[in-house]
Amino acid sequence: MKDQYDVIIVGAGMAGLAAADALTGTGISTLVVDENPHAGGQLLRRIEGRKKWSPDAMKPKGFALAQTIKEAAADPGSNLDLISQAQVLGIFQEHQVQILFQGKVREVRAEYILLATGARERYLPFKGWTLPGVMSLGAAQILMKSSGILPARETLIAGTSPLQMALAGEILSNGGKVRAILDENPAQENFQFLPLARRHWAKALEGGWYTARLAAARVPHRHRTRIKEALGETELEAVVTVKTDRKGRAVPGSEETIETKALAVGYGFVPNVELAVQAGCRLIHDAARGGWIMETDEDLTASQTHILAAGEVTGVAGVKKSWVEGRLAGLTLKDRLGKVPTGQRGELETERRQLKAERSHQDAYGRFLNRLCRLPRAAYEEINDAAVICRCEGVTMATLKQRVAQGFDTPTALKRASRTGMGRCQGRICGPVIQEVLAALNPGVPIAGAKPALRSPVKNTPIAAYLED
Amino acid sequence: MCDDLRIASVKRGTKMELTVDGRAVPAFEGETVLAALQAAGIKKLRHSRQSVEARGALCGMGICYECRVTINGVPDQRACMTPVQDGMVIATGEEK
Repeated sequence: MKDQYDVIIVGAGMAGLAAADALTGTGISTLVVDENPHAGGQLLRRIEGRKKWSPDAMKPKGFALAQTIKEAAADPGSNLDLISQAQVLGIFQEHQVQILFQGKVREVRAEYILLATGARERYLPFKGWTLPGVMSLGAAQILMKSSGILPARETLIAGTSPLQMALAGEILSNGGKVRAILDENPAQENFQFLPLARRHWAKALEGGWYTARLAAARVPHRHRTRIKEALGETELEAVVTVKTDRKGRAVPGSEETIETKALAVGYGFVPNVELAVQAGCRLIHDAARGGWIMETDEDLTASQTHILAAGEVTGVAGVKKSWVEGRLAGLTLKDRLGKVPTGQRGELETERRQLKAERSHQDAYGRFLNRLCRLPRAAYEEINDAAVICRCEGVTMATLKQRVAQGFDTPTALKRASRTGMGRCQGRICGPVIQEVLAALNPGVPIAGAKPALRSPVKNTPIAAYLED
Repeated sequence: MCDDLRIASVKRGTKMELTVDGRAVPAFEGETVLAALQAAGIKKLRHSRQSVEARGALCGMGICYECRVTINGVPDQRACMTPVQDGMVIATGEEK
């Protein structure tokens, strides 16, 4: 790692890789920083010996891209560096970027910084969701995809989102069992896909493939079903489910107990905007795109003009949009760094136009995806008083309601009054939940007051990491 | 009990041994600490700060910090973000 680069790319998922690829061979010095042990982000995880075929057509492209970037980074003659297990802690004046790497905080300067920080999962807390054995859909997938380990012999899947189907399909393919899929939303929601089917036929095929796979294994798929409570002493032993009505309210008397040692839950995705917030970039709120997202111009430049954004951080829409935006951001950077020869100008503009057109198609798909994942307001209103909302600080729904009634009705006020969001995850898990709870409890309060706030270091950093040796 | 959840069709890396709370736990190169613990049936990783509530991994992708364990004497390491190494000594259940 050098002290200075033309471009630092934060995140080596599909968007970051596509941007890095667009910059290779241009003479632009680039550093790609990723927190995971391996480049590839949340989608591109693969271990040897697994079946290579996947119903997702973008995956082979992504794996090839990851390989290209790893090889380029390993070549000492290239202008590309890639560091894994490294965390960007903050972006400061004079374009200084603080990176926690190998136990030390290092300062690196870059002309431009591309945020390709991806998204995380969204949660709906219920009583007992802190029990070991309750994990996210993504966690269950990562165990299989990165380490070749089943989440359990038999897994119960709940929540919303197409990821439920993908996880169930993978568990079955790997010889595990799926107890059932419990979907919060009604089955009709899927018909919203019909207007998109012609252009996104590959996605329709993927959905069909999973549906057939699950039907063949006779996995029960129940709609309008919510986890009311998880039961167990020190580990998950059973869950109580409840049916919900048209407005998403629990139907009294419809409770059912299902014994299970593993529950995977997920309720859609939240863009990782923390670093953007710390760097002073403007956000906009758009529920159809996943909530708070980075504001950019059409060439993906953020409100701080030395910062660009690509992928889920500008709106959750899946891997194809991430690839398109990564590529587009790469081209923007090439242009702004003066690396587009006059003779190639026309070609560049044509590609940019095509990418922008494709991005709007992917955005339409993203809107459908986020709609499928969305929960009714009642789901948040009816969270059990005993449910822990902020897991790090152990703040329950009862405390939250009490504080809101006392007038602490913004995330910042609640933080001061109850410590929500002040623990290790810095509000990444409870923040999106609290925002929805506030909207449910105080329908009149504008969402603008609920913008996430964060300072550097945006990830836990030991004091020793700042000290000289 | 120790219920090995490793998927049969997966080609494993070199076999290793971890020591978890004094007990030997097998692992393979390329796995995360979380995966090795999970495969050994160890789900309870720590207690919450405010109470004695048991906690385990939630997000699996380095966001939630629920899977913190002590590795080779260094506290607060995320099991999900740490690849296994032969001879690692891991302690669960501690809270700093």
